[in-house]
Amino acid sequence: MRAALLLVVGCIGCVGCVDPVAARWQLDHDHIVAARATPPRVMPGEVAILDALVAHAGAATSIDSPEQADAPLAPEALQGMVAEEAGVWQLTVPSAETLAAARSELGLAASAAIPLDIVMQFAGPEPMVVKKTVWLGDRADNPTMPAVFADAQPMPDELAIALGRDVHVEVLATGRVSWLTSCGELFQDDLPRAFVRAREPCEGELAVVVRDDMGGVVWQVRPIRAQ
Amino acid sequence: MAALRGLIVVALLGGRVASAQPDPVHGRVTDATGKPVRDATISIAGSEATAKTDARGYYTVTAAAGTTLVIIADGFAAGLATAGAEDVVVLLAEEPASETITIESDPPPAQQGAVRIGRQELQRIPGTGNDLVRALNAMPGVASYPLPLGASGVVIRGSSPQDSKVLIDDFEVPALYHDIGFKSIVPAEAIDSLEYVPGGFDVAYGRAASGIVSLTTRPGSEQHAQQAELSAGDVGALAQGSLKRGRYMIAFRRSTIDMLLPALLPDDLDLSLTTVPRFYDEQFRFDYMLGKWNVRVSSLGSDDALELYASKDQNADKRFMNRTRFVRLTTAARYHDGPWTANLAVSGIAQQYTFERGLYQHLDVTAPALTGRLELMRTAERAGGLTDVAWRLGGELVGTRYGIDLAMPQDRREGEPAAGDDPMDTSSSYAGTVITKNVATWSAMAANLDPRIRATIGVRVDGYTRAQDVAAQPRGELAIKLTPKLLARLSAGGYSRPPEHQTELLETGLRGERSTQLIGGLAYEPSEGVRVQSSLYYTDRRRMITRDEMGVLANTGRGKTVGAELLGTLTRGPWFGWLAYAYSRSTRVDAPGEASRLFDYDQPHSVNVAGSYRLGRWQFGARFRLHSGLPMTPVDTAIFDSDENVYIPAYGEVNSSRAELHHQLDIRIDKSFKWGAVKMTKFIDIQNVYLNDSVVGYFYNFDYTERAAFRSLPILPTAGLRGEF
Repeated sequence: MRAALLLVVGCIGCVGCVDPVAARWQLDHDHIVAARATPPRVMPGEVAILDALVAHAGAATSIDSPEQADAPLAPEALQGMVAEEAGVWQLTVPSAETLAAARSELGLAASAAIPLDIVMQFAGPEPMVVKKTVWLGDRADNPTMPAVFADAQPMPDELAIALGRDVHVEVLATGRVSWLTSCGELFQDDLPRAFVRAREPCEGELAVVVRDDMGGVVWQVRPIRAQ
Repeated sequence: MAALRGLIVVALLGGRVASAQPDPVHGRVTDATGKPVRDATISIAGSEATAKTDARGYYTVTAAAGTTLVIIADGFAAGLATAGAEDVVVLLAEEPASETITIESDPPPAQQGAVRIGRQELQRIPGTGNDLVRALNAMPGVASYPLPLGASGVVIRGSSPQDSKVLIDDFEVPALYHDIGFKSIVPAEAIDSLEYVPGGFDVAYGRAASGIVSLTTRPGSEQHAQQAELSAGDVGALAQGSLKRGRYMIAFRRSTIDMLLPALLPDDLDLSLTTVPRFYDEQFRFDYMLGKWNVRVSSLGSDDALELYASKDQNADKRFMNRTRFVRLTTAARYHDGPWTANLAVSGIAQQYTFERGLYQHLDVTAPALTGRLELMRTAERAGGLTDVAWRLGGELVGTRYGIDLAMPQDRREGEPAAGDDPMDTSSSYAGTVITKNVATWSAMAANLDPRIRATIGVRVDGYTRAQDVAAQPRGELAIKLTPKLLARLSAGGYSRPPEHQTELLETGLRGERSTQLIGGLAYEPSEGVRVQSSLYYTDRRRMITRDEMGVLANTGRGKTVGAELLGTLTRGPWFGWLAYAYSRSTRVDAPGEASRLFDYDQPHSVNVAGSYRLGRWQFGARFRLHSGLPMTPVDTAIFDSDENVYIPAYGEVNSSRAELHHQLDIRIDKSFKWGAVKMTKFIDIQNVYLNDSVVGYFYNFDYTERAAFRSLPILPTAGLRGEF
């Protein structure tokens, strides 16, 4: 830990220089922002739809279906649950008996939810791979989007900010929060209360993603303009 | 004989006084066999000033070049020497033998490949930023890197930092460097000498499987003197002098970066410093003669603190706090009477390391420890057909009580790639107390088998009681004088370290790591002030502690290092020269059946060439360094864990790529002058003057699709001013 500290402090300014790279909050960069199963906890016989919020370099975000999806580590009893139907990838939960067999195979308690890791691949300049855990034998929906504010006012349909001025954005969420933007810079991007600042005129998007403890996720994407 | 000695002293002290400017003069007093003579009194002709030799026979006096020095020690004839060149060695014939004085260059170091240099020489190596301990990376066998490496900061001969020991005045300290600015915890003016033993060390040293770095603080001078120094990053003061039969040295230093940093940080930086990075350190030493006892009481302390919020709003989950502090108190006594010598020491340390990050991760370790040590030595001119026989018997007990409160990610082991950063990861948790009791005993005998051959054989037995592990470590050396100027040495030995590094403390089934070292070499001294030494070595490591597939630590690793080193030094008149080259290849096998891989800090080539020239009040120095980059493990791809919002990298072959070769030129200029009664010295030390910002490593971005080059600073000037009065 001491060595790690030395490295951190050294990088702060005492020893070396680091070239710039894309930050986690940048939307103008090809990557998956969040994968979603709707619903994230599924009872026997139900279907969960798989998709993701995808960020693109030089383009707006999109909600995409995966090119491929699978559950490569699924127990034998749960093989073949993930399939494509009409361009949409979905997971169909088998019967309660099949889930019971899977619990037995995994050594889980009789009423326990079964975690199933789904691996999805999305198209991009380089294929993008994401893992999403879906819980079988339980029921929960994705959360609803909490209230979002900009400078203490409800988030407008399009956020306009002045150059060089910090604009505080806040989401009233208890779960884990991620803010992303493709216009300006974001600070405290993993806190409910962040702020955005632009030094040059730009247009793009401001996104906020909220994850709960049940595997649920919800996001909001709004246009943002700095002038 | 005593009367004659007195006569010589009186005659010489009444003799001429050199008219040149007095300067610190270093030397060493040994007996005819090269063994150090401790507590010899050095008197300066024409002056009442005197000095004493330390445990290794070294002394420092302030005398003008050409002044005659008189050396007196119990059991020896008086000896004479001439001040001027540094590293003068005076060999004293034992009574009632001849009073012939032989003056040679520095004696052979205690071990093959070892280097011992005093403060004056250290200050002549450019590129240290006036931090003498950083001259360590000019030593052959020490890995060069812009940052201190690992816990101790020093990587020796392809071994992990925890495999080597850092000693100050013979006792271990938890760290050699401050957290901020990478300053060593002992300022230049409080250092007497630095000894670097890369391997093959004596049985008196243990619980280390690789090398030893030993700093000796400066004993106070006979005359009262004060010094103050202001340099980039810190300010310090030192006072020294004599009190009756004792001498004292007290020094204190404080960082100044905390006073400057708030003004330097840009307003728009998303950072809030609540405790600006700062450090303190202190050194105290009092040496006292009590009959045949020489008693030393010393203290060494350091305190580093930093607290910041990586957000202007001071959100608790963006908080980062670290504090590292310790104080060590030591009482040591040496008794010498005829053939008998006894060394006793008791030392205690109170230390605390605290780290807090965000709302979840924290580490608080307190580790008070007490060490008791005793060593007896008996010498005999002849015994059992051998000559110049020295026999030693010693023992040591170290008890440490660790109070640990831990909630952190798993610590990274050597060879493991860095894990993805998750501020909520507390997969390694523990709260409780761990007590370790390490005992050791050793015995060694050295004797001349022949006038040209000296053999040393010994054994050290370490008991790591918590690990229920006993390590018997036989060690021996053969030194053969091939010609009067050429010495060949061959040593072999077993070494071990206890399983007490980081979370090793939390496991009860681990045993100590072991190593076997084979070292051979030559030392050639063609003329006074010139030495060339070369070494070949092989180190085999066993029972290395690695993490298995289940994440459990086990003694399943192996490793080996082969290497060659060359060191040439020149100390003559105004000139000082240093040439060091080291080759090494260090590999590891983490578990039986696994492939061999490169060691994390494997550095095949390292070159250091330094020169310094004194011209009146000026001193000019330059140093060129060239060294291989360190190995790195590339990332092939990464998978995004959407629920955790973190990318999980898939690494390529461990340490299969390497940072680029680095080279740089450093220069240093010193000028001394008088300011009233104060002797002032100003210096400037500039590292990397031709702006070579080589890549020393890479950081990946959040999704591992881009990597950022971490470059060495293109230029780093350090300036300072020192006053002595």
